[in-house]
Amino acid sequence: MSAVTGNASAGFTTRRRNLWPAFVARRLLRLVIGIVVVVTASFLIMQLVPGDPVRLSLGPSAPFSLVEQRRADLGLDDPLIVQYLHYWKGVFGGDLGSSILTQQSVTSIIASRIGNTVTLVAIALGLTLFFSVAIGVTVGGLTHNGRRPRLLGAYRIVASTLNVVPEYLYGVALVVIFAVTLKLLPVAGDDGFKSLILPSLAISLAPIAGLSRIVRVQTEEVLSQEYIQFARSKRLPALRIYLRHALPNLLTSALTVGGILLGVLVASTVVVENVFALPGLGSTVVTAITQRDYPLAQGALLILGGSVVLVNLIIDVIVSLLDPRSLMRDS
Amino acid sequence: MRPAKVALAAVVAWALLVSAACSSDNGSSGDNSTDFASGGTFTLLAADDPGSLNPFQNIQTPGVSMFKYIYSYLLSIDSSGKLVPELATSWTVDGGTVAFKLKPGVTCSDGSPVTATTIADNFNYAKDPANKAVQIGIIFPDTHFTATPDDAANTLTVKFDTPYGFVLQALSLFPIVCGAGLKDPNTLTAKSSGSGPFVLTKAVTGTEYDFDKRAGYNWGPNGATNDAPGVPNKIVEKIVGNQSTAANLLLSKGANAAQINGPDGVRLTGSSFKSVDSVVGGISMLFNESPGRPTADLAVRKALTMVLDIAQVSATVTQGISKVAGKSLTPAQTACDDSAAVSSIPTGDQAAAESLLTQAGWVAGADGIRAKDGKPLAINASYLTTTAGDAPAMELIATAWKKLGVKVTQQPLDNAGVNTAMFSSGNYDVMPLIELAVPFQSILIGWLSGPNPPNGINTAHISTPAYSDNAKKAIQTPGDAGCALWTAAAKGLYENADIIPMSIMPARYFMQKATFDLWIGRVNPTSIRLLK
Repeated sequence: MSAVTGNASAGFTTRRRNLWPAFVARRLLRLVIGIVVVVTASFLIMQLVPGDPVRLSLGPSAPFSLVEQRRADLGLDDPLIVQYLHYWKGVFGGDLGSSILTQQSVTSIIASRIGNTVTLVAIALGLTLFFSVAIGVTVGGLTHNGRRPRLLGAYRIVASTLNVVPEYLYGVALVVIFAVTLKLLPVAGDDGFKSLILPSLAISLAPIAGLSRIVRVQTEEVLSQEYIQFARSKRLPALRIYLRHALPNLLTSALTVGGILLGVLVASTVVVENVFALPGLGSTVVTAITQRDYPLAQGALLILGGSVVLVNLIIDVIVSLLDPRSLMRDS
Repeated sequence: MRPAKVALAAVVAWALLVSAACSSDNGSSGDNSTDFASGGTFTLLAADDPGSLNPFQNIQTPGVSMFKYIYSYLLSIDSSGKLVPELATSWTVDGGTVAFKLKPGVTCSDGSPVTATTIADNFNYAKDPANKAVQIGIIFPDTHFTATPDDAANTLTVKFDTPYGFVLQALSLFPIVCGAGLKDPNTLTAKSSGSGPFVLTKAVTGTEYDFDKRAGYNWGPNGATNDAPGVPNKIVEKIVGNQSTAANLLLSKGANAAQINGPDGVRLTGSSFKSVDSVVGGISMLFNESPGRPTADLAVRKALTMVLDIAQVSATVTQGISKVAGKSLTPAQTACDDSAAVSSIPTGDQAAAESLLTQAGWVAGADGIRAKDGKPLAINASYLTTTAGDAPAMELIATAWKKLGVKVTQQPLDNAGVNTAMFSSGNYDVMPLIELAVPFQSILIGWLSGPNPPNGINTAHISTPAYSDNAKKAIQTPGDAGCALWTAAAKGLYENADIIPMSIMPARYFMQKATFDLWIGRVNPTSIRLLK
């Protein structure tokens, strides 16, 4: 465990006190609370959505007795609290039940689909962080101190516009251009890495535009700091100033916002996986909710929500490692 | 909800369905064999996952259509609606007894023989209450039947305690599972155990199902064989719920066929794609007659029916595929044509409808809304939003009703919402565009008569003796006599404006480098031929 010694480039110092144990304890508490909220929400959301999953799966002309029998078998007639406790028991035991529709284990269905979603989100997050930082720093550097106002104006218009375009429109446009017209990439389906390129672009374009604006403003601020001016006065190479002194101070904010954006990216998979017929957790959630397949929807929502909570924890740790001042602020 | 999903979800809403191809521009039989490709993979884009692959636990259309790849049936219904032999070479019906002569030499994919005992075991499994087979109460009225095999003579006799008019049609929907699968049906969710033309090799829920051709298969419907030219070596059924995506995949040559009913079909029409249409089921208008509802009043139901231009509604809801008014609640089935009953649908002009309402005490107030005993004539019109045509059709209907002085609240619902309205809340007055996809009339008996929820499934509280009495007799009466009774039963429903046929549920398939026939609105596996 490292101790806080200050950020040399910012000239920040503090007394040596190990803040990590308290930080980890707080984060773990948040994680536990987050998981409880996710489990409870994923359970309640499906219970509150109207519609009898058994009637839906058997059809309106199924005899009343058959529907009643199936409901009893699935425990759907039990009091809500009993179902809730049973669900927790399953979560602890790694048993998320069986799909009402396919009767397959929810865990096995999720296991077969989580890979695509994780890869998709990871690529999209990587693209978002890389391009937003690259674009934001570049534009921030070029327009610093009121220089190139036309470039800044054009950038603002383009970034604002791209930021509000829904991901499914990006998806449709990308398919028409790169798959149907140019035939460079698959239209849809699960055909390896190349199947993930268009979906990950579709969900990352808007976040790239949004986050790059934040990075640009941060860049402006950082470039105005005394330590940057000091570095300039020493005639350090521009590249070194940006990479060694400015970038580390930008990354913390980019990562923090990126963590928040992770939830947006995960939510976007719900739409984009359907547009690209990509078998992942997002498309599973849509199908399961439409068909009121409670166990499958609950399981998929639990994994999606839980992963956001977990990754946010990891990002908090990374940010704290990159910028130990955040430990002080956190304490 | 995406259009494709919708179209699909609508189909899923009903227990099962049978369809007949209503037009085909390139049936496989009509092609020159020199155009057929040798081997190859046929890729089909399906909108819905089939659900459970255990035939005893799934009677929804996507599943039922997929079982046709894997399993054999005693007999089949071909694309023209005719009963044709499959595992049975011949059969005789005598009252409630059906005697089958079975085809010799049929084997399961594991090499075991399909004997009379194997088939009888399927009946015994289905009728055992412990197994909770979904066929009971839907395609078989009850468990009161006995299957007696004679392996030496290769015959099977199935005796129903009460004669069943649609017994042959029901058996054409009853897949025969092989011994290993029957011994442990839980294994059927992951692998196949059948004697059908293909063997399941890959099953990824919600994604893809792959099938390999079975060598030596020659006991298909009407003598269908896998040795025929053009039969693909492999079938890949990909689940693509979004119709735009399915159309894009076809355009990029990523698939051979897909069902596309909506506007995306326009992109394919006129290009190199051929299309084939099929009737999947019917679209009908159901009135809720539960006490206290305005639609419990016969005059209201009749007036609301009279002012509709049903042909126009039909053209709108099917997006131009069908421009004629519905002729039956079960237009896809061919066992019994009851279309003569539509002459009993209440007709009349606007003035006649207004007069009917006025005579019944529904008088227009200052605001133009009719009321009776101080209660306004306000109706909740709940409708299923499964296709792009539903909302415009509902708007058309609502406009006609508003001119009558009726306050109309339109309530769009998904399948789950419709089920909730029907079976839980009961909060609807009319469902003007409900989709019924059932293989024969008898399946609707419990839904159109008998106990109401929660004790039964008569959700609309229909109590029309002309229907229930005739239907009760009809289910036990085979042939033309039974059909006459079904027609009389339908007349009873229409005269009483309980439920009115509005249109058909269409299915339009686009294809390239392949041909096939349709069965229950889905691709008939033994008819698939790949083209060069």
